[in-house]
Amino acid sequence: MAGEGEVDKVTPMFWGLFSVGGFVVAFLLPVLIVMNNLAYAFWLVGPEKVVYAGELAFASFWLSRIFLVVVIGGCLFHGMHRLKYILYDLGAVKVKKVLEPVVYGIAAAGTVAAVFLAFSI
Amino acid sequence: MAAETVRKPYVRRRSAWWWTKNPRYVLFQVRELSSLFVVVYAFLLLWQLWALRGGEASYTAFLDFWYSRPMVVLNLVILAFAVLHTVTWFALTTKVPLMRVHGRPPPNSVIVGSMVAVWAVASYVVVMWLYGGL
Repeated sequence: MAGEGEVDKVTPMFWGLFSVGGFVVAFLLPVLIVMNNLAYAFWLVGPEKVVYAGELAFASFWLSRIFLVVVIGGCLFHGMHRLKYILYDLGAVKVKKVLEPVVYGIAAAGTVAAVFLAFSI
Repeated sequence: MAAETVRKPYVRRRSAWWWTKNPRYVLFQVRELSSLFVVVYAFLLLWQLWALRGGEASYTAFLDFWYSRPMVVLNLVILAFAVLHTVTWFALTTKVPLMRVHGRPPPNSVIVGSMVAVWAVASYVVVMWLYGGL
């Protein structure tokens, strides 16, 4: 909330992250779930493709690391923002001041964890 | 604020179940609920990266869990919500005039068509990238 004469720069930033995350989720999440979780379970790829060495090679490539961080960060900032409004709808609007740092804190912490994990493999 | 407000703002009381009153509101909340599954999946990916970082033995044990039946069922549910998100997100983009062509926003069919095209290309790229094709 901005006082008189101030411009609120924080709220639009989170709406921006929500929007970017929305596109990331829409374009990339379905195919990622299919490939990363279901393809092998439904015999679309052979067991030779789902091995430690192969996934290590994938996660060691710099573009894959950026991809992983963008997907995880996009999911978290999009999802937590929306989750906040679900909780408001369920009556949590009274605890707005506590809820906002919690939801965006979780999203930020998860994104930092993604950067750390992706770049330390 | 120009003038100082004296009275407290009026906040209308509302039941936590207001959205069950109308099927449209139910669809709205189901779509909103997709955000929960998106967040769950982000944490699953973090978990996977953690296991991958732990070395070969840790990751091989993790894969048994990753492809266990409850996880596959959970991921089918997450996939259903992710696709619901994608479809409703594309429909939403037609409501936001992001650009104008000859002074007016492009027709909805063009917007949704280009979204589906980008989706298809992005999905194909990810399929090739992850496992070199199906």
